[in-house]
Amino acid sequence: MIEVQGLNKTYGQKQVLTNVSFRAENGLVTGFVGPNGAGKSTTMRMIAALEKPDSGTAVVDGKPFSEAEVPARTLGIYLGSSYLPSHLTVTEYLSYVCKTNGLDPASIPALLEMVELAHVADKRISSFSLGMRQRAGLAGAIAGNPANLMLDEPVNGLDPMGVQWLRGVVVRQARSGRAVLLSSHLLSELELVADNVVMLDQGQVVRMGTMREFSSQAGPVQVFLHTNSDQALANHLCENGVAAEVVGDMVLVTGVAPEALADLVFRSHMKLYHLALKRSSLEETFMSTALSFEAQAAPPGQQPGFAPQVGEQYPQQGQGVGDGC
Amino acid sequence: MAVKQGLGAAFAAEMKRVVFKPQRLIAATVFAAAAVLVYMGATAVVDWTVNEAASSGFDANGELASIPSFLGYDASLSLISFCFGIYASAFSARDYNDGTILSTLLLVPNRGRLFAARMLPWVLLTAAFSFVAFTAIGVMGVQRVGFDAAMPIFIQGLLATVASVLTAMVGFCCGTVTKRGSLSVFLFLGLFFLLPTVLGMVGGFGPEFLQTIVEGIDLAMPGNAFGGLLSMVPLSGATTETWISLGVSIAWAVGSTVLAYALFKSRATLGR
Repeated sequence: MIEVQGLNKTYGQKQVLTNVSFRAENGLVTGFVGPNGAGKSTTMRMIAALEKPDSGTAVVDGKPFSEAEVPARTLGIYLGSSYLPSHLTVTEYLSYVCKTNGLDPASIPALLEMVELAHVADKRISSFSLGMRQRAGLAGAIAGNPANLMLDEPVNGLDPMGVQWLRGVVVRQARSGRAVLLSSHLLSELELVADNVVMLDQGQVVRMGTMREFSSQAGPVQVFLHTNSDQALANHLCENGVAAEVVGDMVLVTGVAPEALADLVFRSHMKLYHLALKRSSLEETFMSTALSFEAQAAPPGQQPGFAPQVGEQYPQQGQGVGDGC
Repeated sequence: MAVKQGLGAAFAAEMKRVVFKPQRLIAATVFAAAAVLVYMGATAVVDWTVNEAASSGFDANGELASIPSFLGYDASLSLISFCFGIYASAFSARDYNDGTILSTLLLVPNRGRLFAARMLPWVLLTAAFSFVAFTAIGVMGVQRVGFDAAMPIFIQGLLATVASVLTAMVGFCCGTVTKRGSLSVFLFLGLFFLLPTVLGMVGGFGPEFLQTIVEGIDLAMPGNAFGGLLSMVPLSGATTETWISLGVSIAWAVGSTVLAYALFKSRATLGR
């Protein structure tokens, strides 16, 4: 388990972390998100004992990482491909990993096969592409079969097959009981693997919870349906006091549980083609939370400087062909 | 089952990295030092054969008073010491430029352990090469001047080895403090050569009182101390000057180590 409690850090006059506390639980993937400059990398460097906080603690399995008995077995760390020793070959680098932590170097060929770098085993890391350097760094992170894993932007530079491979690695690590702390700007990818999410903005934890909580709607339940007679369904619901509108080629119903709607459609002898709860994507939640936080933090009269491009999965409300109530 | 990480594991990994990466440079140094030894030794043998006696090391009565210095040991050991000092300086600084230091800190997060593991290879390599070089000279010297000189030669060998090791330590610390390859080498060479030269010029052209001050400062310079430790040791034993040189060398090595370790331990961002 990776636990961070009350981290504070100031560089000069700038407070970069303010009372950051969260936990990456064993057996779960914890997504770590936030805008650029939010403090994610600083937090991860403190967990890795590369930096000292002004106050607060960062521990891995109950101890600071600098006191780990076998560091590579305690926490596998990937903080970016630029932190690899470029004058070494990938084999020499992994050999160094094994030697410093008492690992069996006989595992290196299998590790190189796993990250698909066996064909460049004796080439210097300086000659690698970005994607290859990512894979080399990830190989170093998992070489010790660590009990915890911390990855900072590991998908940058990976092709789609590499992203899929990494997804498998991350999920397998978590399902085998390890704590995985994963920071990524690719929120759609994170949504596929993360169990919990911690969102940082301007050095503070602004939102934290399960992925379900992050993607569920606040307020009344909303359900999308598509039947063989959407307009008629919408009219019928409106006549009975239920908020319903045709949005694109679907009906959006507010305030009625999906089970009840399915039952209604069935009793009305309509054909039901599609029924789904309307959920916010992680990206939508991220954007709305960030905007809200920055609006609160901004001086009066100043608005956040960007307009969010919300990746709506379903047609937007109010843009439909038909009428609502 | 993994063994708890200790200094041994970290040191072994660093030693392998030091020995096998700049291996060509180390090999070049060894060959160069050996070549100097062979040349100087051969020259001395020829000279001795022709003149029946060495021109140095003997007093007015023809008695051996100190270890002959004509066998090239000071040139060889100086070459070894300064080459390893420069290598240590540049090698340790390079790790900051290319991200290696961050990788190593993630694998050996105990900074004291990592610092020691990074310094020890240079200490041991320099000691090993210096002592081997001096042993070769010692064997030749004892053969020529007899076993009476064996102990002083051994003491001289130890002092020269210590001088080499302390020089390499200062070089390593220059790299750790500056984090820049060219700056670290400049600092190292500045301490051992440039600064004494400048001080000599200042003392030579300045007023008398300044000369006294400069002489005092020069005595405290590591280059001067290094030369003092390589000077001939009389058969009667090491002189006061030798012990002063040893003390100054140790002070520089310890002081630079303390400074380098303090910076290494406290630095937050150690990368580019």
